[in-house]
Amino acid sequence: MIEVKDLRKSYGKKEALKGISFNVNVGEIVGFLGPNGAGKSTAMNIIAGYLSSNGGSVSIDGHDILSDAENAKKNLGYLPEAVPLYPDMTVDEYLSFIFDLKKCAFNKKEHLNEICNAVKITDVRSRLIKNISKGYKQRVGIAQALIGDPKLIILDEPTVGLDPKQIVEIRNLIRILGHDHAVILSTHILSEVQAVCDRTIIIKNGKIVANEPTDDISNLVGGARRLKATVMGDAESVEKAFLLIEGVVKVTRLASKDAQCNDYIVECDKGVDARRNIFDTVCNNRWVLLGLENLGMKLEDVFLALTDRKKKKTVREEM
Amino acid sequence: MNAIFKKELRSFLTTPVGYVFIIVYLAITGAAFSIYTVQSAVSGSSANYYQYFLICIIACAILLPVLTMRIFSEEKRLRTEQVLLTSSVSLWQIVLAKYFACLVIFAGTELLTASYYIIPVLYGTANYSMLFGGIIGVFLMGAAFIAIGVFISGLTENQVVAAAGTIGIIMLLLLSDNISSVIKTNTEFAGGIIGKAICSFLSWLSVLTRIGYFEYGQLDITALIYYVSLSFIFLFLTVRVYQRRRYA
Repeated sequence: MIEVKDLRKSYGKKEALKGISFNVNVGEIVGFLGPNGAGKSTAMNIIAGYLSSNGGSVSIDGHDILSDAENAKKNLGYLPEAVPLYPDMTVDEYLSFIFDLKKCAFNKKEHLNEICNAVKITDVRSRLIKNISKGYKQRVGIAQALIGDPKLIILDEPTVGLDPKQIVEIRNLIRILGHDHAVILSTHILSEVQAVCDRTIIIKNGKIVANEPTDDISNLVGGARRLKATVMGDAESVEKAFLLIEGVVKVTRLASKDAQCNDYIVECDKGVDARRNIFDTVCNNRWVLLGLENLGMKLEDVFLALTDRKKKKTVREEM
Repeated sequence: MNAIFKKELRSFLTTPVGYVFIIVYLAITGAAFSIYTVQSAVSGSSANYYQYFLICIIACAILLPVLTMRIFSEEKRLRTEQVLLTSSVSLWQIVLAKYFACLVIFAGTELLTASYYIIPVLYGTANYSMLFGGIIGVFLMGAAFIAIGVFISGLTENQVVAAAGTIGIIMLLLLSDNISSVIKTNTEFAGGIIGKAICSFLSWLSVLTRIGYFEYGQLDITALIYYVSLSFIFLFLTVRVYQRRRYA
């Protein structure tokens, strides 16, 4: 659906994007993750045709965003970081304007009703945009991106300003959209990516440092698989026994008030699943396994690890 | 393009800006018409249409920038230009839609001033070619002023700066012939080749000298081309500003 190739952008001497490439297909929700100033919004603005790149190309459904902008943009719905709303219009007038601007072929009334129901703004349709809450404004912004049923939907920080209930609703909506659209979700909220996205692209200093399925991305940094085992048994014996399991590299006992029941963080080699062996060890020693949880590696950890790894590499190079 | 045109037209008629322009313009030109034509005729002297059209031009120079000041600057301030620039509408279509919306408001207002002519038509001897020639001349000049306003509005997100900048450029165009005369009479610089070229250019640039033909009821093609070209140049520059910003 969208193909980004070697995209470059400089602001004066500052290189905001240093040649990023990725694809997003229909039926896929991709999280675009990175800290402030990483180049996320610049990339989104170039993909949406708001900015031009200094190199590389963006193709939406086979149409180049520069040379065939009109056809490329017909397939695009974009919610920028700052929601673009006209405060002196009512919600209905605004959505009607966007409908006309996009030259949609649908039945206007039915299409707008459908979108308003989906983003739950039906009750504020007749109100002036300047008089509605920030959460509603955000949802009106999402609604305008959905008008015309574009194949590619780019959402830059879509849940900012929403309350927890609204966040859940919008995430559910994005998941539904992901079934038959290509969705790019730009955010710095890591839990949002974990909750919604099939694939995660991590960008830092204008470069993609990871482009993996969200579930697998923790493996990228070569980090250990982390398990939390709650075992009733002699603490020292449990620790020693766990360390003897093949692939286990480290066992850490967490502080506990109960001497007989402890939590252990078991770190394994990359690719090792030690859960079965832990279960067998506990059974063979006649201890009691009260819980076994795969902690995995949270995206926060992955991001920190990637950042840290890069820093270390740079320091080594400088030395 | 149609959607943007309609939106702009609607915004002029749902906010005070459009009404302020229409009311103040009609008040100033109505008063000028009364003073320089009707009252002159009543007191026995001949109607001075030249003075009336001069007041119309000054009203345009001050009020049209008020009409155009928000046209792009507000979009920038509200960040709504992202919606326009990421839609499948071309830059030229965006600029033209906004330009024509301003032009329609101005044309409608200018058309209302034609109602003043009922008085000389009914009670005096009206020179139709002069009256309507003047209206066409003021309209063409106003169209060029609107293009300047659209361009300046595209440069800033501050509406006051946009209005002041537009008035500044319009004044320069209105007074360029006078500036040329001042240079010619008061400086030695005007004697050189560069000085002569500058003076000739300033005289050529004058928007006031060209409107004179219309006020005498003549359709001057060169003046028509001049005003249309001036409008086109500033609209083209507006498009270029947005193209440049994309590459900034």
